[in-house]
Amino acid sequence: MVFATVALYAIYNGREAIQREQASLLRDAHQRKAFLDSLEQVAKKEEAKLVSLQKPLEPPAWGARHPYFANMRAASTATLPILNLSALSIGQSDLHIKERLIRLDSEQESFEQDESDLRHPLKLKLGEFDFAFVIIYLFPLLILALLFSVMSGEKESGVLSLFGVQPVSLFEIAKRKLLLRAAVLFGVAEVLVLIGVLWSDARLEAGVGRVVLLMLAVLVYGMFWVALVWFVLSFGKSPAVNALILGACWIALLIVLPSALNGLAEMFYPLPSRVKYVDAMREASVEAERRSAKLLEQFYQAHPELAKDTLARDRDFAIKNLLAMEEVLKSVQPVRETFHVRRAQQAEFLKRVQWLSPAIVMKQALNTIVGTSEERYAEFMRQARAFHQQWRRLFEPLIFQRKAFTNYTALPEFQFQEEPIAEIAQRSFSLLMLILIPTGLLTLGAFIRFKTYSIVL
Amino acid sequence: MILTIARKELTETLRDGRFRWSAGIVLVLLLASLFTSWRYVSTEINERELAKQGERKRWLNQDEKNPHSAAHYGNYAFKPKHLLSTLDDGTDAYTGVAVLLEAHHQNQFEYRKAADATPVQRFGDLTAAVTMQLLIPLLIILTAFSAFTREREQGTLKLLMSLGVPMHQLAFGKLLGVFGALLLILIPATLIGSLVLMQSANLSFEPVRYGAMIGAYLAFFAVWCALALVVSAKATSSQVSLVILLGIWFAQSFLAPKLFIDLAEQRYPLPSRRTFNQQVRNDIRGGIDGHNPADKRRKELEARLLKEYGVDSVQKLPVNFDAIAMQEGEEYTSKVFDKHFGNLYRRYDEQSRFYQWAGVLSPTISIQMLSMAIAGSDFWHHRHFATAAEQYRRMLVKELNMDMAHHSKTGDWEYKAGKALWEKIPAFEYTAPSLTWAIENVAQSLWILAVWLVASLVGLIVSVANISVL
Repeated sequence: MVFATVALYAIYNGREAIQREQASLLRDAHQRKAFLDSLEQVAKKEEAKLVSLQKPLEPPAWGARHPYFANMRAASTATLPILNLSALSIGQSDLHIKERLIRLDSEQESFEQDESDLRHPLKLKLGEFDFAFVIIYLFPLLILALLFSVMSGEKESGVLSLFGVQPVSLFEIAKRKLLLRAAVLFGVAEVLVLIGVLWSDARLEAGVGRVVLLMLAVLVYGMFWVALVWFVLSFGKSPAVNALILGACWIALLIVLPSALNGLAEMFYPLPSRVKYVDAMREASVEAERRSAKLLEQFYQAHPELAKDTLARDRDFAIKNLLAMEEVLKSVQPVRETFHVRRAQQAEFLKRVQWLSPAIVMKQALNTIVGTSEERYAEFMRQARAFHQQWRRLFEPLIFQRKAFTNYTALPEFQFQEEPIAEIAQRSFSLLMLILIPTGLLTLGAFIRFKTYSIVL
Repeated sequence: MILTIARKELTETLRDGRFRWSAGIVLVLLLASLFTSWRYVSTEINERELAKQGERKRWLNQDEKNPHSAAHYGNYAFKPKHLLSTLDDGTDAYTGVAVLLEAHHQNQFEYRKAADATPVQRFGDLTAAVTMQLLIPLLIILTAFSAFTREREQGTLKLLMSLGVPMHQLAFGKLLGVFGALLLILIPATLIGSLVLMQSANLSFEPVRYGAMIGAYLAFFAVWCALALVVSAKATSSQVSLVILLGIWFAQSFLAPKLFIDLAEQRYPLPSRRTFNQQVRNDIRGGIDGHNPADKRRKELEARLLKEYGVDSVQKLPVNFDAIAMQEGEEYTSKVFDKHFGNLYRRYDEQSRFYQWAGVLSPTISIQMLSMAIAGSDFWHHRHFATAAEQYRRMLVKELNMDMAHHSKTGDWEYKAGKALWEKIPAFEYTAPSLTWAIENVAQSLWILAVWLVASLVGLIVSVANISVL
């Protein structure tokens, strides 16, 4: 009862969090289009004025036809859509930057800048009270609490030795009792999963495949804990000792191991300090500013055909900006590179050791299935970067060649390409295998031990 | 009598292999986390100091430029890290480390450590605080869950009573025994901890804060010891006692914090960042009261200045009107920022207050708040720094605007200032708040923990007064 109530609250809570996030990310496509149309109108007016004054349209003056101006005003955003199903496992998504500014200078200015929502930092630290929390922490506790005395009660009362007289193997008795109770628990958990799915994603927009995976993951995780109980029971200790051992396992797998492994990952592969990054960035931008005159000079040496128009040359701060920007990016590249390499190494390390704690694996699996995984976020970043490149290819040639920008209505918009379900399924399966293998080993161990189970103490 | 009982309890505990093992593991975890976080914190302290110096050097050595360009180039402020955050990282990983101080904007802090970490970090960091808030209570449970139940199960409780041992003496003897066993881990951990922290030569080790932290945790542990003994005295068997205590532990350490911070958020909702920014922008453009738009404000300023200097156009003013208008704008936006950030901070405070009240149900919440405050890693410390940085920003921008106002004429954007001006503006020196200030913020938690301490001790006396022997 308590478990179900807590689970329902968790589902409700995750749903609230996700809806809030979705509302804050909502972009009105019509508004965007109207805005771009209005920019086009402004540009047309400016053009008409130039024509009436018999002035040339190119090179464009600072205004709606100037490509740098256009890039600033019509700046786009790349948004990572949040699946309704994500309500079940928030993961790191409360910290992810789901909206990226796409503008020529955005890579320099807000590369890793935070646009995430306003939250009490303590709330972020304590983590979301979501369904994943209930399944990962509370569900095993429930299994341990209801199953640990399944065998010992009979042993103490001496009924077990009576059973021994019957033509039923002890292994069978233990198995049936355990499986029956486990089946009830699994049933409750799966019903809660279904309620969670229907409550947060009633129209199943995320697809049935994900729901099946979700149910499978909960089943596999539950099986691991049942197998653990079974294995511990097979040693035939008293219920108090069993309870202590199982409690210790829970603490080790859920608290000590995850934080210790993460600590090790951070110790082995420390990320370069962000402070150093800011420092390097500032140093580089001062350097680039100082050299900007020289950079421009070099640019005109390389492009003598653009150097003729001296008036535009004096004004061409846009080209100067772009050149300086490139310079800054080039010089902070090593710091960035180290950062990403180390970060990848941390993830790789955790991937290699995560099988030690099924809780870690389960968390990764749930995040993968509901769309809050690291991989999905990385994919978004990749697509956003690609879109940024596209943006650059659109504007930079215009700026360098001092051409007018005439394309407001045909500006590209970012559209996230969702990971294919086959890939999600494959990743989830390989994660679930990491839980299934220890489950199998524990079951096997229990099987062997039960054969030599002592009837009399 | 109390001491005899305490000695018996201690000896029994130490003979118990389970206690030896788990105490050993806790001690190892405590020291390992202490050492790794110390390494991280001390490099971070150094790097932030270096970055701060680098930033100042860049400011002083910047080329001659228009003061307004310098105001946009601005200054990065790096939040210093408290040495004691080695023990408790608090919300540091979730608040960002640096902020750009520039003209027009009160920027947000950038680079939250947590956003760079792997999803596994959300299981909790391995810090001394986590060990002390989660694992040591477990150790206490393990030591004390059978303190009374075993005596009852073995029939020795009856014997003790027949000997006429006063029950409250028995209870306090046991309390002392359990606590004594705990001290066997805590004393070496504390000593090694202070030795490690003192290694940080120039990195100000604050013994008073360290002492306060130890005191707070000792009170928290005492609450748990008493609580465990109360349950043990009331429970029908050791097994029941253990299950109840583990249930309480889970509810206090996992459910309560998550649940109450959620409820705090629902009760005192925050605007979304986009709404917040939109409101700030609207107020700057349209005036705080909505009747005083930016262009009207500018017109009024123009009229006032023309009258003051007795001229008929801004070009004839002896000062640069653009610069003065910018400064007026700054002062107006400062008012807008104060209004909105003030509201926002009030909301955060309401959430914190609500959350702290939940300490009545879970002392873990109280110790968590106290521990972060003492370690200097709570949200209030962050805001203290943010406020100081914002004050500096306003001073910086004002100096630059006023220089431009008095050394150039209206419309002259070619004016360039040099090193003399850069040097005139002092470096940003931040003084961290005192321990008293830190504690005042969480006074509520301090009182609640004190009440818990008294209540649990009284509860212990009451529960043994009518203890059943069967």
